[in-house]
Amino acid sequence: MERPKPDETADRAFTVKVTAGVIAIAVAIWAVTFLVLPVIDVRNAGIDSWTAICRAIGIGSPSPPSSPSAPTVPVSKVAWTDLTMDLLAAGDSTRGEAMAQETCQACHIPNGLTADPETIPSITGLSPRALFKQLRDMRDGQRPSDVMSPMIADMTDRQFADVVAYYGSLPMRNSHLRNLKEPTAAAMTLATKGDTARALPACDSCHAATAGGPLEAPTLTGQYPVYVAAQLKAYAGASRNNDIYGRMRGVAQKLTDSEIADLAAYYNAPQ
Amino acid sequence: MAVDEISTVRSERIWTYAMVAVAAVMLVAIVHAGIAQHFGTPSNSIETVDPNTLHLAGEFVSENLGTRVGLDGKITTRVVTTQFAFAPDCVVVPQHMQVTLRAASPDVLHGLMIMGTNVNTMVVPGYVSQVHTVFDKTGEMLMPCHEFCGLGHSQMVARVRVVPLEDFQPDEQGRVSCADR
Amino acid sequence: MPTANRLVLAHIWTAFAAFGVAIVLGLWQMWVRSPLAAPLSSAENYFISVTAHGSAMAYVLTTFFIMGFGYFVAESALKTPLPYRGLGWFGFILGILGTVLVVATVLTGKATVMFTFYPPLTATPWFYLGLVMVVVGSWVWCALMLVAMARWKKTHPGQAVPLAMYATTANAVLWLWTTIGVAAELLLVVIPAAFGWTRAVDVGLTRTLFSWTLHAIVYFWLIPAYIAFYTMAPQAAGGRLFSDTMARISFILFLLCGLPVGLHHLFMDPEHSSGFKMVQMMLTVLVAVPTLLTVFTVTASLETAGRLNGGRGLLGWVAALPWKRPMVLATGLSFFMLWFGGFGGLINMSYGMNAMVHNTSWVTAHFHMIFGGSVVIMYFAIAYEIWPQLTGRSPTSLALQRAQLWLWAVGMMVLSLPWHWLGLQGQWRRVAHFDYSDPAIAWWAPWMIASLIGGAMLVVSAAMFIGNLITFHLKLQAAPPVRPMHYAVALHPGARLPSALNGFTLWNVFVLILMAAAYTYPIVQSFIINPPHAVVHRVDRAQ
Repeated sequence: MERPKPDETADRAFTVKVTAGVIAIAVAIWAVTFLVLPVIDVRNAGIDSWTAICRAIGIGSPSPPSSPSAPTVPVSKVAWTDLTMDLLAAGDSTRGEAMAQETCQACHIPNGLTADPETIPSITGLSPRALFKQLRDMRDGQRPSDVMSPMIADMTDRQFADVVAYYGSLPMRNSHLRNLKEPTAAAMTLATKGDTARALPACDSCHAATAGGPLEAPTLTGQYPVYVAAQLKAYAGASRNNDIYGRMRGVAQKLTDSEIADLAAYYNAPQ
Repeated sequence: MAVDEISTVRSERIWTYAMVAVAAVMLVAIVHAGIAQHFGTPSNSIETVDPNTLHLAGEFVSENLGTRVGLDGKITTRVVTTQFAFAPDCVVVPQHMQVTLRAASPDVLHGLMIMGTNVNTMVVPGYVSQVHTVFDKTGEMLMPCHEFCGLGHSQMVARVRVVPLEDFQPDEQGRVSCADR
Repeated sequence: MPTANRLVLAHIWTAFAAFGVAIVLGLWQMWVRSPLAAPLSSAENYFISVTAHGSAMAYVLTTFFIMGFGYFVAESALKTPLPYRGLGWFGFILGILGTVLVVATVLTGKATVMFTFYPPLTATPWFYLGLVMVVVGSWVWCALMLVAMARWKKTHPGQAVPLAMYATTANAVLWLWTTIGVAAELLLVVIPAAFGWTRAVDVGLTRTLFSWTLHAIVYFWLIPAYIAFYTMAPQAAGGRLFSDTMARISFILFLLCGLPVGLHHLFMDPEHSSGFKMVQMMLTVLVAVPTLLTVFTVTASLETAGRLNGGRGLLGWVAALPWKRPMVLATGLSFFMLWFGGFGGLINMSYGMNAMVHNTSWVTAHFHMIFGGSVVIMYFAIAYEIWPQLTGRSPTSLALQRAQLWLWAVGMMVLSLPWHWLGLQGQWRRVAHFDYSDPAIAWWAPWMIASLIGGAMLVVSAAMFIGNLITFHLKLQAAPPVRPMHYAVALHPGARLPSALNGFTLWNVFVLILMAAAYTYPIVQSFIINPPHAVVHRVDRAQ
């Protein structure tokens, strides 16, 4: 670089000027935001200047407003904490299979389908999280069941994790019955599109194989229609209420009996 | 052409100063609105909350949701935004009173706004969102989720019922809900 | 002698092919949202379509167009062959493979997370990897632009880099800074979660990192339009650029002020203090300055042209401009839309007013007006300007080009003005179906239909545009020899430029300082307060 001297001097002068300008603007912005405004704001908020400055930066949360402490009876004690997730991750399907042969297969027959589609759901290929939550709730009393609850009363969470790992590892079987009823167009609309006027989301937004909904939502494809209809009615009447924040009760209460029947048929039909 | 170099530079310079001044005026207006009229952003203090145990204990269990009048007389409305509904899906608030809206999410990102008001906040799992507002008009307004939260997002809409103060009758625990009326 | 024409054509045709598909999806989305019954309407189809439309328009159209145009500028402005052309093809192929991955994953319903991702919703990792490949391909382009400019400076010591190339390189530098945020989000948080290596994500952190990218990316899209304003429009109008220095300062200001402002997308978020939101709001106000400077310089340049053309009086020069030339017409239409878009932007960035419009249709309307309108219409004009160079053939009909530009601008107004209005009245975003039986929103119906008509006009205009470009290729031979590309030169060239305005070293130092001051704490905060993480919600398979 061979440049005459005056150019270099001019360049340097320009650089110095611009740098000073940028620094001045930046300092002004940061000073106004983190010093001037918090101190002015003190008068409104009734806090001291130091707290106000810290809060402008984002340091030091005020204690949250006194929250009411209603006696809490959670509708489900299952929570997707690290503990639960570790437990599920450690689920061993070999051990689960042995346990399934011992305890489950009388009703859920070896492939996870059913001995009686009127009362017993298909559990083959269901997500371990969906199965785990229901087992916990049945054992712990949030979803009491005359048959299941006594049967699993002595099982541990660890054993649940093994069993659900086994059933989750089975393929999704085509468990559809010979259809009692053709799925209706109305059911298809509800399942894929929902009904905005009633704030009913598409059933598929949680219950399809590729959904992205709540972690515990089961895939309904292939489920037995009598079981699906019975559960929807139980949610609608709140005799089943282990759905966190009432997510299913809110939906089921808005459905008519014929919609429930149609949807049950729709999910059982081969898709 | 009458445009010589000096006049070019001069007009440029005048324009630059004018534009910087415009920017400065806007800045002052915005800052003034923020400070003098409390026209700011929601949640200016950062509060965290565990989304995974939201339903088990603490402020956002089902029993605590909806509108409550505290012992200090302050009115707080708590909602949980979840896939794909608000809990509760209808809340009652009084007219002309300061109401604090607090929201949290147990699952994914949501947002909420109350149509026709300046209530608007994101609800980010892991944090509590808080907005203070005063409702001037009575009537029922929509409170939709305004951030994509999954395939059921379009149907995630709740209602806010603003009632005159005389119709705002808390029960002995300070609760007011849509079911009461 | 241009050597990279095929490279340029490959990039820009890819861009417009994606555009052509995405705009049809856009029309269908408007139809689904309207009160009219649309075919194939379901929740999943709608959000697949929105994801595809957004990814194609925001990532594929823009990135490929900007890369192709950059290669063209590097050769035509510097008048030297593009260095390492093979690497350019490498970047292109990487980008194409990435695009194929994105398209395949989105269309099969395995990536219904919008182009803005929204963790903890999580798609198949291949969707994100596809986007990473597009970005890495564009980094190759950035490197080539930097090398091309550096080489030219070495062989032309003491000379000012031609403005078009200086601005293109500014965009490459801006893009390198811009992509740091999204790259960090994807590589450090989202992709590990998508592969199942981690099972929960810090949502606040992902939003903060994405905000780093989210605003500067729009300046990346915008700069080609500004290059056309400064270097092509005055030339097409028969005048000169009013001031070269001012132009450089504008591009530098975009680089400085376009980056440390992303938190203004998070004004309504609970995870940041009001202080950092305020800082970035103030810097956002400053970013209006380069746009206003551009309005001045370009208007003054056009005025010069109009007066040379015999225009008299206060506004006589406007009528005297050669509006028959597509570049001049597009610039006028683009400026017109820029007023609306810029005004909307001022509302969005105002700390308090943002609460009225955040996540309403106002925002959607705003970026359609300013990006789809002001910017994309300049992409069209640039294509019309450079296609004779690339193909060696002259256009069939300027009238068809003008009609297409007019239809685009009118369509964009018809589309977005009702949309702005509905947003102001509280119409919320990203919704597939509205309940028009609700009295609170029943009155939206005619506005939605008006907007839909605007969408249809845009589809027709897009089809005309693609048709106009295809006619170049169908022509057997060029009739008149095409004159070489010529960029507008300054009214008063000659004065020596401070070396700082001929390079980026100083400005990179400033960007580093401003970004560090604006973003260090908001990012580090996540590790100080360590907020609870949210469990990944997969959209590509059962949980």
